[in-house]
Formats: sequence, C-alpha cells, structure tokens
Amino acid sequence: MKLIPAVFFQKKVDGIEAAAKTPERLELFESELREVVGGALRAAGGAVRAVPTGGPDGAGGLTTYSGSAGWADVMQADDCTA
Amino acid sequence: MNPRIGIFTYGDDPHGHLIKKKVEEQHGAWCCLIPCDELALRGKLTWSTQSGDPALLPTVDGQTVDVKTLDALWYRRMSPKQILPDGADATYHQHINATVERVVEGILANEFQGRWVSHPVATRLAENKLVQLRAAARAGLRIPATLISQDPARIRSFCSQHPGAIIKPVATPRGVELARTAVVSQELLDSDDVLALTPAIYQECIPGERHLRISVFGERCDAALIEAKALDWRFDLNVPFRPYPLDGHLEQGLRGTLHELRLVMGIFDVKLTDEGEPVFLEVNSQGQFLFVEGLCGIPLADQFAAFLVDQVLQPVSSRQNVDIW
Repeated sequence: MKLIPAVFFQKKVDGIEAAAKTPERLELFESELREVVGGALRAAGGAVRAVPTGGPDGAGGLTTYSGSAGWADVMQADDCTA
Repeated sequence: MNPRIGIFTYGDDPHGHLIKKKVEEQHGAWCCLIPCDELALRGKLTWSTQSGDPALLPTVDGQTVDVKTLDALWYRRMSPKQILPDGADATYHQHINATVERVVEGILANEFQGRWVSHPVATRLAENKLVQLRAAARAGLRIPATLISQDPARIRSFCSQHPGAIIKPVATPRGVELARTAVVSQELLDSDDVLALTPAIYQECIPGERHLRISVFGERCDAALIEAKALDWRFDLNVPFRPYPLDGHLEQGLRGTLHELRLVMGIFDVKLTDEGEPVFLEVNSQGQFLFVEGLCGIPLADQFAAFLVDQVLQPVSSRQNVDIW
C-alpha cells in the first residue's frame, strides 16, 4: 500500500512510538476542567446519546470526544472545517 | 443590553463548554452552544422566506436559537459529518451531511447580522497553508522557504538547496492519524511513488529549540515559550512552557497577518532562530489554546471569554459580513 509523504517518516523510520505521558500539571488542569464543566457536558450528551466510556481521552478519564484526545487537547486537528 | 452569544462547535467540545460557562458567569451574557455535529440528530433546523419567521438552529440544551437574535457567533468548528439517530439508514448519510451543511450555511449567510469570530469563509480560506504563508509575508513576518509539490524532481531539487528540509502535511482532517513534522529522509526522496501520491509541504528547517504558541484574540497577544529539541513539540509536552513577552514588531506582524486573512483571532506557531529572530510557521484560525493555560498558567479562557463579549460592542463592519460571502 502506498503511503502519503507526510507519514512516511513515522511508518518507515520511527515505526509506532509510544505516546509521551501527559504532564502532571496538565492532568491536574484537565481534572479541574472536568469539575467546572463536567455537569454541563453530561447534561448535553445525555440528552441525545450515551456518553462513550473508556476511550483515550489523554487523561485516563472516562469520556471520549469525537476526534479529540482530551479536555485540553493539543493533538486535535486545529482546523475548523477539516 | 444583555449580549447574546452563540458558540458553533462540536456538542462535546470542552473549549466550547468552558467558554460558555465563563461568558455566562463572569459577564452575565446569554450564551448557547450549537452542536455542529448533532444538528441532524437534534432536529428543528428551520428557515423560511417570511420576514417575521425565526431562523432556528438547535442548541445543546435541547432548545433552539433564532440566529437573528445573536450579537456574536464564535464559529469554532463545522462538522462535515452528522451523528445520525438510531435506525437512520446509513445509505443517506452523505445526503444528510450535505443537506445540513447547506441549510446551516444559508441560515447563517442570510440571517446572522452580528459579529463573527471569525467569518466562516475567512476561516476556511485561512486554513490553507499556502494562503497563510503569503499573508504572513505580506504582514512583514519572516517565513521559511517553502515548496508544496508532488513532483519528485522539484522536491529533490528543493531539498538539495535546503539541507535538512522538513516535511509536513498540507491538511489534517479530523479523526485521522496526525503526521508529525519530520526531516525529509533520503529514503523518502528516493521513493517517487510516495512523493507523487499527494502534495506535501517541504520547508527550510529553522534551527533552534525555542518555539512560541501565540494566542491572538483581537488586539491582545499572549505567547508561551516552549523549549523543545523536537521539531514538533506537540507529541511530548513534558518540556518547559512559560509565558513569553513579545516585542511590538512581532505583535504587529501577527495582527497584520490576521488582518490580511480577515480573521479576528488566531493561534500562531512561531519558531525563534538561535539568534532570536521569529519565523512564522503557521496560524490556526480556530486553534486549541486551553492546554497552554494548563501548562503555563496564562488565563486564556478568561481572556477569550472577555474578548468574545467585547465583540458585541464592536461595529459589524461591512468588510466582515458582505465582501466574502
């Protein structure tokens, strides 16, 4: 299968690297954010769908976001419309 | 006047929910979150030619909002894919996606008269790396020598002129594996079939280990200095992050870039050379910023909420709303 040039490095040279651990202060910040807006999110999600659990949300937590890796997610694609 | 602010983003977007809460609690404004990926699921999208009728979008709390009544709209995310209700025939998913997207576009274009943060057309255009590189250069920022191509001969020629050149993707759709910025290897340069499969960004490598992530909300610029050996610091955040004061010239260049792109906010990635010269790498018109607050304490959520409320006081310029639809 042909690779696209931008991932060639990852696949051919590096292979699959283990993800770096989330810094402790970012984990703490994320847990504080959960306290601040967690209720609103649960209420919003609960109205229309079950909140998926156990996903890789970047903080070892319980909620998976659509395409997002966490509450203070730097890895989410930045594009608005992509 | 009690400002009425809309946030257009994914229903489960933490940035959106946090800013909504701050806008309400810190500024007493009315705020709703319009879940761009749940519009088909929640229903109630409505528009008509009758001038007195509302133009309705569903909100995350199960209500609707008349777009005509909003003073400002944070256009943070637009989903190309709708979540379907249980039992919906997947055969029609693309039809539903396209229909919802078109109806929302029409409602916003026809009926929203407030202040965009930022305008959808400007946002989409500004996500184009080719366009933003030119805009940054016009604004007086240094940009790296760049080639975007799928022509193996041109790519090899560029990389021979710029030893240590790097490669990065032109676009990263949501939900796909992120490609990290990397040095172009000889193995890649020898692989014509890979090089030719799709264009990528080939760029002069800016030496140095000091990176800036700069949030520009209106006139305000807040920078975090990231000290990382890695070309792409996003994959390991266990590196020093700290607030970094910017000089006036760089701030002017950043604001000038936003002006060129007709944006009112942007999250910039800039690298400092070993001599301290800032080099523009890219601007994300709706970039992530909460992690920066978590890592170095700049109160960006508070600042963004204040910026959003302040937008209501700004004049809706004809340039923002008329020229680009």
